Amino acid sequence: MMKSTLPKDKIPGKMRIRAFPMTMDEKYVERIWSLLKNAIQEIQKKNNSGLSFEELYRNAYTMVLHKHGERLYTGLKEVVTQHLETKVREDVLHSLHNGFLQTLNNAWTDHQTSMVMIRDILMYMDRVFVQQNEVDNVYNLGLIIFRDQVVRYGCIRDHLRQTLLELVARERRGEVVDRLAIRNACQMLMVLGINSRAVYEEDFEKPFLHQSSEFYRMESQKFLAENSAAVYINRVEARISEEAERARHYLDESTEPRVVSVLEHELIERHMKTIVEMENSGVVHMLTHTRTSELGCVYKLLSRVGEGLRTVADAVSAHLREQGRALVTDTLHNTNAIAYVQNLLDLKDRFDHFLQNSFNNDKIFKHMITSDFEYFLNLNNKSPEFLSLFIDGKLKKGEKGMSEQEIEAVLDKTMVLFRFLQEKDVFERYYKQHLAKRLLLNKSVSDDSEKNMISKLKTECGCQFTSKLEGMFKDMTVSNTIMDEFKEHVLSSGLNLYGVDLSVRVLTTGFWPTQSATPKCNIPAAPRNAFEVFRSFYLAKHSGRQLSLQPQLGSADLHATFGAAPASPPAPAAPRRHIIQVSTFQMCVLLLFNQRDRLTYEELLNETDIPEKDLVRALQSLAMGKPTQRILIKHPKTKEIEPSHQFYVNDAFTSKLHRVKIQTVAAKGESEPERRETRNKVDEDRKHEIEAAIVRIMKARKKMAHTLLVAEVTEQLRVRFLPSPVVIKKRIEGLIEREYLARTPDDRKVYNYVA
Amino acid sequence: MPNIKLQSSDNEVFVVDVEIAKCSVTIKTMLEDLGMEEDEEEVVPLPNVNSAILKKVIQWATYHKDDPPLPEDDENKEKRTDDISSWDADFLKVDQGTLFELILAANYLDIKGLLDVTCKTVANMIKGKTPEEIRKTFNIKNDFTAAEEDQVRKENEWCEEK
Repeated sequence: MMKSTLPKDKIPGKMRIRAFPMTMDEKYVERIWSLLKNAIQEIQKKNNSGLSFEELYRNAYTMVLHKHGERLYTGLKEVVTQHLETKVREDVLHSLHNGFLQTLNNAWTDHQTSMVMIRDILMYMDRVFVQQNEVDNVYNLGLIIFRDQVVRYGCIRDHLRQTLLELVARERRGEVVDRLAIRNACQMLMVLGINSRAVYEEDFEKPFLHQSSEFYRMESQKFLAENSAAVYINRVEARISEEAERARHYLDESTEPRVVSVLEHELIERHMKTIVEMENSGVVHMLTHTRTSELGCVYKLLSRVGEGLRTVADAVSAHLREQGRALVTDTLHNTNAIAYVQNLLDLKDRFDHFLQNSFNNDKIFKHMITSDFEYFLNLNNKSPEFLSLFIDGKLKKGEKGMSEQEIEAVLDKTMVLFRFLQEKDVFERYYKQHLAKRLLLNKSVSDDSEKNMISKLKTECGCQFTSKLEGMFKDMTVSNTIMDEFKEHVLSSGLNLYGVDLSVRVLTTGFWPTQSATPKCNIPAAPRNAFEVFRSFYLAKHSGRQLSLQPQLGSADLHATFGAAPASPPAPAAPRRHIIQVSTFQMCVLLLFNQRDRLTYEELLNETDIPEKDLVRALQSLAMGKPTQRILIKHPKTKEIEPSHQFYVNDAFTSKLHRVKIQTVAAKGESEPERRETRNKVDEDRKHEIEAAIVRIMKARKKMAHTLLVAEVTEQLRVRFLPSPVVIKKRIEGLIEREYLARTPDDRKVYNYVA
Repeated sequence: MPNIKLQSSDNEVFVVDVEIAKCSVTIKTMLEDLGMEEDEEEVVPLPNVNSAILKKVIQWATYHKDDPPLPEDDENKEKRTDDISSWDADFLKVDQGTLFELILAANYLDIKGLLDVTCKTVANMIKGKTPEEIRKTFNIKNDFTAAEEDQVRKENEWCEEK
């Protein structure tokens, strides 16, 4: 605080233009300067209460006005330097081992206070002289001198650094230290940088970061060796918060991101793989034991460093692939399609759970799961067939206890798996087969569910995929209409149907899955004649069409009477009537027993003309199934059927039900030869699709190089299957032979379209 | 509002509202260092300024006390002299002596607005005049020798409008 007092000099008050004094004599300047010098020194000694602000300000003003600013500035510099060198620095040096930080801080505070006052009295010089000569202003000048003569003076600089680092180290070890002292020192260093953090950085932050790096390097090694991954991670989190808090509270807050990144590097980045791959506690362990929140911690921690998430994703991916592959190649259990698909769905659910709850729906992990599933799902080439069977199971009647919404949900998940399939055309083929069976045997649980499924497929694959399926539906509706018309026609014209209640479904050839050739079959007289009646009726309506009977798809209800012939004692005396539901083939077999009691296999084969494998299957269901299904008896009772084995009607047949349905020995999947046949058909179709694609592309482009053409074809067909370049090449050569394409004369690798 | 006492070189004391006095950065800094209290009986001496000038300065500051703070001088922006408000122009219809004293007072007291407007006024008095006319206006003695005068004229020929 300064007192305001009246000055000693007075200036006359008469108003006139004063000639501006251009010079000031040396003595006068000297006087003014020593006045000011003295005042500055008093301020530095904290004796400013006796000083007059106005007087000092005016004197400084006068000096600068008369062009002696240089003198004033230099003088100021000398005074400040001298004070700091002789008094302040000495004090600090004496306190090196006794209250060093305190002394330094006090010196700093005093310096700031006195510099402010000095700046104020020299304000005119700051405003005018400093500006014009582009030198440091008074306050900054003071800072520079303090910095160079005190803070950065050799041993003081080193001692300051050591002291601060020592305090931090002690606190890290768990001791309590004087945080305020550190804070003051750091603030001082920041201010001394004058609009830059260079002083703080060089004198403190750099060595601090270096020390931190060393400390944590050692700590991490020790801790990792002694603890599990989860514990280590928690410790890392704790240390990071601690360091961040330290930076915020008593270092400069701009240090926070730097020190945190040092920690991240030492504690996390260096040990990423170790943490992730730790035996009995790493990521794989967490996955198998469903430690969702621990995985979440791992994710959070490793997302701090650049490659952290990739490391975790790689470990998770390896594990997922292994699990997936095991599932898919487990030949012991892979006969049951439903279980196969269900296991895959469960696996997907499991990892989706992790994705959502541990990995924050992170894109990296999402992509990883998708690509892993794509990888192992396609390792097993039965996947498309099994997928179709699974859906078939859900859409068939008898699926207990699932509401429509539940079914819908499961089907949506199944569609997700479908997307992963590479051989979508194989799936299409099987789906058609299974759908045909469901429709013809009336096994769909609901038309709505079926149509729903088809629209899902349409969204995924486009109309081409589903147009045939929709055609199948249409055929069913049309057939119903035709049957109604036929029944009316029979009634009104009084036609004879030979005792057969006929029901016909007319299937358009293109839509339904075809066998390689319609199996032969000798239809017994009555049904055959009844069918002829229908055929005339139909062809009269639609001339130009052809109808061919498909015995492998039909079914028949037969009235059967058991017990009419003499039977062995346990059989009841009265005859029993049942209605048995059988396949067409089975009908052919059974009706033969109306003429003869016993028939050998060979005889059956010859008389019915049914293909062997179908006949075997038919006989197995009739003769070798459950007792309640055994219409025929086989002699001898072996599992294999030899040509000489005999069959006869089981007169002792009983059943609680009046109407007995004979289950066909259902092959849950295809047998190996059937599978091969399907695969061949698929390959045939693919050849055609490849050729169609090639021609389409060449027609548009007219001319194209080989590699480019192969790439385009692959790209276009990838939604259905992945064609191999070798096959494409063969098809190209085929097309060249048939003169659709030609090689250009100058370059054999380039093709031309031949119109 | 708290007041402050200002004393001119000829011992006249003026009582002024503190906020108005703080138009002068010098006085403002002085008060901050003094740690002003409400009924301060202390008087601030201004031996560099006489009462007539001090009165004018206070008058100007009172009128301009609600002015928004002036922006920092942009060194690249051209300074204008034709934007003096009419009140200021009237206020500065004084003799040269007073005008120059006002400039010195504004400089000493660090009142940017007043310094600007007074200097602009003088600049306007110089603008468009020949050297001889300027000398006449300000009563300046020509201290060039004929040779020196010639040389200066030659050096500045490029400025002259033909």
